[in-house]
Amino acid sequence: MKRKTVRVVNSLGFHARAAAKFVAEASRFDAQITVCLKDKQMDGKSILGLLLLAAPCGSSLQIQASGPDEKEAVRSLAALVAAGFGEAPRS
Amino acid sequence: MKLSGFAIAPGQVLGKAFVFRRAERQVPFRSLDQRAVSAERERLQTAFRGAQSELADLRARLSHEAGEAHAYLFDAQILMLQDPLFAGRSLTLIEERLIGAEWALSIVCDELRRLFARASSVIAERSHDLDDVLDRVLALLGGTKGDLVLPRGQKVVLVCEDLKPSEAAEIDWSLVGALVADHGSPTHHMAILARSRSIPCVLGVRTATTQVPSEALVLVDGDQGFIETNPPPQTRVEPVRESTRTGPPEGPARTGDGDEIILRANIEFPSDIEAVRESGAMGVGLFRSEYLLSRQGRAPSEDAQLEIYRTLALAVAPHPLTVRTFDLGPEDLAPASPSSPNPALGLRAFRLLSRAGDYFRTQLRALLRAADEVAIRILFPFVGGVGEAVEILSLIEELEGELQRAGRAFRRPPLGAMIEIPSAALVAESLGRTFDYLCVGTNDLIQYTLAVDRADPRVGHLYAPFHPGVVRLLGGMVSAAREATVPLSVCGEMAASREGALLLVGLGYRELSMAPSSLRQIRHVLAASRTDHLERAVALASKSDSLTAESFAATLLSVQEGR
Repeated sequence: MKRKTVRVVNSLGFHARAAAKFVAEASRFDAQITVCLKDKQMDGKSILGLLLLAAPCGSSLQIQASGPDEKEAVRSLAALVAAGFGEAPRS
Repeated sequence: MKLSGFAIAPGQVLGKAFVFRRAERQVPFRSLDQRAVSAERERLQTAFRGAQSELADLRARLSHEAGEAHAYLFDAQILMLQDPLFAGRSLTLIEERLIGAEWALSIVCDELRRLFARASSVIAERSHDLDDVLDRVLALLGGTKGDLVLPRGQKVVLVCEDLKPSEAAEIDWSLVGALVADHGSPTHHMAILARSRSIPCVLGVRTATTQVPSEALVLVDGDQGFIETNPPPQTRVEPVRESTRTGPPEGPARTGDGDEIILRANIEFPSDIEAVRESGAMGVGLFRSEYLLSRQGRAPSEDAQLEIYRTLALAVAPHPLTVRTFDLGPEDLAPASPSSPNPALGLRAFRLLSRAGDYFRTQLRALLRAADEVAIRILFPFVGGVGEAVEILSLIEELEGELQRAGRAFRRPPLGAMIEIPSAALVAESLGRTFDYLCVGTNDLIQYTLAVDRADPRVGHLYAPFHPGVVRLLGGMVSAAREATVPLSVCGEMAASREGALLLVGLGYRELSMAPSSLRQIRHVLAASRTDHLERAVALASKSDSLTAESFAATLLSVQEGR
């Protein structure tokens, strides 16, 4: 299993568009993906799960993957979150 | 009582309000026999698939009409339909509790709504999406939809929160005199619908459904963007009348002092062509060809497109049919593909050439072939500068070579660049030397120049077509087109508004393209004005640092009165 901790940087946090992008990206991998925030843990391929995590801007998420492409999955999903889902941080 | 909103489609109507509120959701309960479980699960899965394809459809349409920023909401809904917490759990419940699909779904939604309510307030809003998905799936399971049945007889003023596309498709529009909604903006699908049907319309009224009583007399002013319940007698206009159409006007419009202005029509669907003929337009100045793409982003074959272009062009002959090549993003071609981080500035139109070349090649081959028989013009959207122009021309040459080798008849029609990116506006003269004509797309040009998304209600008020910066860009293009000796036109909503059309003619534009429903009105407006007055008003107004449509109208009035 691979894991990586990453900070949510976009101003709206894990809102609908961000979660949709995360799930679309996660679904490209065979690995099972889990996202943890504090004591909560959700399936990274479930948009409802990610919305219910309600991770705000500034929070630390742990992304875990286990499966054949776990390394690539963690790298790519962490990069997506770290890049603020391609949204500009609100000025 | 007066309520204001967005002025969407022109015209004043006084009529009885019909206030539409959606029916309460009804969820039937059934318990199942063990043997019926797998069939029930299959029934639910079929409904999920149906809902997914409807949403993909809607998403493609919305992304075009309202912009990618709105369409993404449907991504979330589409993903919910595949979500283990929603879809997976409903299917499991059918089996575990031996209950019908509808009941299983509603249990799951209740659970999720409770969870959402406990999460942050931003997330709690997402229960709307959940409800929307639930209603869609229930409808596909054969449930009752909130039927919208209009009273027969006199036309009504339809007042609603909003209309879902499926509802809009089912209404008998011949019974609607005007449309008013709490939600919506100028780019909402209701707006496009109202304009294409020439129904006076005011959107974004916020409290219309709560403040307008059913059956009340309502004045709808689609020019000014307000509604008024029980207006005082002196403000009353003629009640909703059946249109008594005279034959369409012919030839170009004329200003009061005799200058000819060519008016053409913008169309979305092939079925709009009847309205084009009725409007007296000299052909089609903009056919938004994206509508040829199917819900899954598939384009018709080359031969099928050839037939469509030929039929449309023949319907407006001898005037030309201007076809804008597919103006789309990657998400239109494959609904699941990731959209650009900022779609308005991302991969769009010809920027997709290297990834989705077949779409453009098929379309251009069909257009080149159609041009051999009928009057076609090709318009390329989203041109940023001369670099793209060179790319486009070399593609055209390549396709001509292919057609020649295949022994197909073809002809090169006039090729035009749509000017909607400020950089293109600034190098319009160079573009004019490469292309056969230029066409200004004011909607996007204004948005890009002002950095304002007019569909975003929080900044929509900053969308200012008369901003001095915009007016300067528009004026610069007139000189550029003269230098390059190419025809120049405008196709954008600016041309369809009274002040907008007058400003454009005053700046030197002689060709305007607009929704067919606005054409007759603009023809009258131009006939009532003189070019020399307009030019003088533009010269005066250009000195202002705070120009607006209203101040331009006031300046023009003072010029006309010789003050």
